[in-house]
Amino acid sequence: MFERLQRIDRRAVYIVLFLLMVALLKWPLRLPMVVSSDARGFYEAVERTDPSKLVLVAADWDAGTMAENGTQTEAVLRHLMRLHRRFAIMGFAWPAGPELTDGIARRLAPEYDYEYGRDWVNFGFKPVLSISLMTLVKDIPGFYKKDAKNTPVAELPALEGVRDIHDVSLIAQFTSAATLGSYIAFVWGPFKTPIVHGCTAVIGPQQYPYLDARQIEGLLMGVRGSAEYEALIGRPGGGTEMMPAQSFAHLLIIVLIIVGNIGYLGARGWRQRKAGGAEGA
Amino acid sequence: MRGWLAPHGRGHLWALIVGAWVLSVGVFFLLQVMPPRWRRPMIMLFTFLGGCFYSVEFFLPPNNFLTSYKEGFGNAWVVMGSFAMPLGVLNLSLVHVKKIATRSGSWGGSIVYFTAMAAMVTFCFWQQYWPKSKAGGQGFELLFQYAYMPLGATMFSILAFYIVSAAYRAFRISTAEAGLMAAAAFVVMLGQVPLGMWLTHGIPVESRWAGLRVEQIAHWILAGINMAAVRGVLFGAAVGSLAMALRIWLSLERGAYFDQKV
Repeated sequence: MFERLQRIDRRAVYIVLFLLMVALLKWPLRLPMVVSSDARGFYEAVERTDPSKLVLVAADWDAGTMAENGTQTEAVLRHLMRLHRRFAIMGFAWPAGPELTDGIARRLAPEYDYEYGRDWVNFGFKPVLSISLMTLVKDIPGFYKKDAKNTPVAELPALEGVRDIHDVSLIAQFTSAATLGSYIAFVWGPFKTPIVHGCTAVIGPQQYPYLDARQIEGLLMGVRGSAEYEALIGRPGGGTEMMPAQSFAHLLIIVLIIVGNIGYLGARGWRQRKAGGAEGA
Repeated sequence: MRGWLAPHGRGHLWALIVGAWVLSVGVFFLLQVMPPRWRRPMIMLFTFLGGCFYSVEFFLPPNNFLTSYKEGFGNAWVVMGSFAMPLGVLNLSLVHVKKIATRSGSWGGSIVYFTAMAAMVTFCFWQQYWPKSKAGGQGFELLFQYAYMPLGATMFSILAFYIVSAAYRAFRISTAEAGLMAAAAFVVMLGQVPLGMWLTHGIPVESRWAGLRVEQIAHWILAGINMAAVRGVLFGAAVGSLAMALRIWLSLERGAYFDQKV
């Protein structure tokens, strides 16, 4: 019996997980959500932004992590639009990131009377993160010259008065890769521009040293981060919807690990008893 | 010099692009035909000078005589980084051409690769350079919004199934350390989701026992124990990176001269 507990067919595991996900996404449960100090720090940093300055939204993510980074970005853009902050989308890690973020902004724009060019711009993707940041901080319009649709920077009212990093009140970076270090080294280090960070859950634990050192003001980690931010702005969205499914997926992993280990420890004990019995005989 | 390099008009811009391209190909060709005894010091010199620029500029007081050249150097880096993209496409295409030519392995997948690439490149340029054309925009939208994005999300979401299966099959608590790790993992996993929070929701957030709530214990593990460990790893990696950077800067790394096999 113990051996069987260790050998549940993986296809059965896949089916159970799939059904659990589908059922909880279709009929979500209402469960309590406690907002962490990390997410609250993010929210407060956005609240503190200077209305006369620009917010840079770094979209260093791709379609693969849309469930996590996409929902985080949506919640934060909603907050920025509600506060009437000008923002610029940029990206250095994945070519599709700025386009995806611009798509989210365009979807939310009618709700907050936002207009492309007047209230936000999309600079698009540039390769080589660290070198790009070193140049960007000194001269933002000089570095980009045109937006993603080839409109000259001078023709975009959202960038009026923006010269260098001193005209930026916050950098909100969303990523699925370990790219935060470059922002800390080349932006926070020399200029102390506030940075907030949204990342996938898998790389979240790596960001705590930056949070502890106050090099980032707040942290959103995975779908939980999105759900926390949605709770803070009082507008449930994709993150909140996905939390019950994620809750039960975590529970399934824990249950399966326990079952596997009951089988493992039981089989080991049985073998030891059998060996002891044989020696005694 | 810098003024002359700034493009004045379309003709000048094209002259600069063609000139830079000819110069780059020429330098690359020269390096290929050069005997190793010349090639080696040449590469060493340029690598050293390239490394010197950023370190000297950084260590000198701000706005020194090198600062104004930083943008130019930065742009050169971006251009060099962009070279990696066609190089990657070329490498991948060569692999797939070989597969199709020899009908080896899953060569049908190689045809899909070329078809997908051709379609994406065509519609991407179409909508970029003929923005008024509806078909170009729709084709790009179809490929990007309804093919690329769902495929990317699918690839990543499949991981969830593998992770659950792998955790069940591989995570065996055979030692006390493994037991400790499992306990920490269970607490952190539960502390990240509302279901875990619900388990201890009876403890008021403001009470003196609030630290016993699952999400609080999970946060303590992440922001305390985990943070200290990650910081240690980061310090180690930083020292390693410094040593590696020095080796590359001083051309001590094996295979840095095009004449040694790595």
